[in-house]
Amino acid sequence: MGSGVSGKYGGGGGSQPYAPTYHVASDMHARDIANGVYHDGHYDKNPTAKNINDMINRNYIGNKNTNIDMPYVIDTNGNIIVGRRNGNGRNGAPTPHPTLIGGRDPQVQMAGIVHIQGGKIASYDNQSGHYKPNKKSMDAADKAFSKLPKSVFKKKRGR
Amino acid sequence: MKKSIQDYTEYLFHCTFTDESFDPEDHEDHLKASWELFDAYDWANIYPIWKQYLHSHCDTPAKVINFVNLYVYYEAGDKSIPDPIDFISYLYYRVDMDQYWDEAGELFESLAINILTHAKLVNMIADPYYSPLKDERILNGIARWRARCGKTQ
Repeated sequence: MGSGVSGKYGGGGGSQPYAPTYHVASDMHARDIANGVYHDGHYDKNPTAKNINDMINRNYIGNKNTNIDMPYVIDTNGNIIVGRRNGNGRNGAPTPHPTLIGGRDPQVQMAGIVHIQGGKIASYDNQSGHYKPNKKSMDAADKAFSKLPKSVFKKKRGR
Repeated sequence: MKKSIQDYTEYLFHCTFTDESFDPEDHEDHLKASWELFDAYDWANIYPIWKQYLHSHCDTPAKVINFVNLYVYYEAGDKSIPDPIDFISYLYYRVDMDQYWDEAGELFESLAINILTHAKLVNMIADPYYSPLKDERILNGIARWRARCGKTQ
């Protein structure tokens, strides 16, 4: 992969056919309405959503104590947008992948989870039930993540 | 002489993850020691000793949160364990999320989902709204710990 770091590829089962960009999978629509994240014809926006570049603090994502798995999407401009899984807090409405962009039809090049350990990116994958991106789209993630400074990636065992 | 798993475990967990002095940039001594441990011993033999450390040394929510931070930092969350529900339930039993959500909510949830996904007990693709604190298996596990060890920890 482009960045030379640790992309993890989920199983291909149930993924959408490869496409340059993805819409939310149609089978999620009813659940999104039931969970209150899609209403009045649009998705809410995760209040914690931000460009990952805005989280970089010296050589860390956030700070040295950041240990979190965060949903991410690669938007149509190639930006990596991340946000907390529970962007509205413990008892607020859930904030799944589409809420990282929000709006009527949030499209992405890629979606998954970025695993941050000790303030460093340990890995990222294609685990998104809303977009079910094809594993071929990991190239889009590799391309976007490779633009980040190497110093924000966690050292790997044996290197 | 080869260091024992207990020696490694004491070194790896008898420290505070959030201390400024813990594994500063380019001096990740603890992380490297965890790699050394994983190279020297099988995870199947390491896990029971780490779990024992959790149960015997981490007697406050702050210590349990510290243990979880270290467990995640040492990349153990990606490893299979024989008792995923029991392990995760114990963590939630010891740390009341009504009180510690801001400090540890996303941390615990991240670890729980990783462990359960590896154990094939959760499929986030099929169920992206999954939450461990709404999972009956976890809630029942917490109740079992309460019954076994007391209501308040």
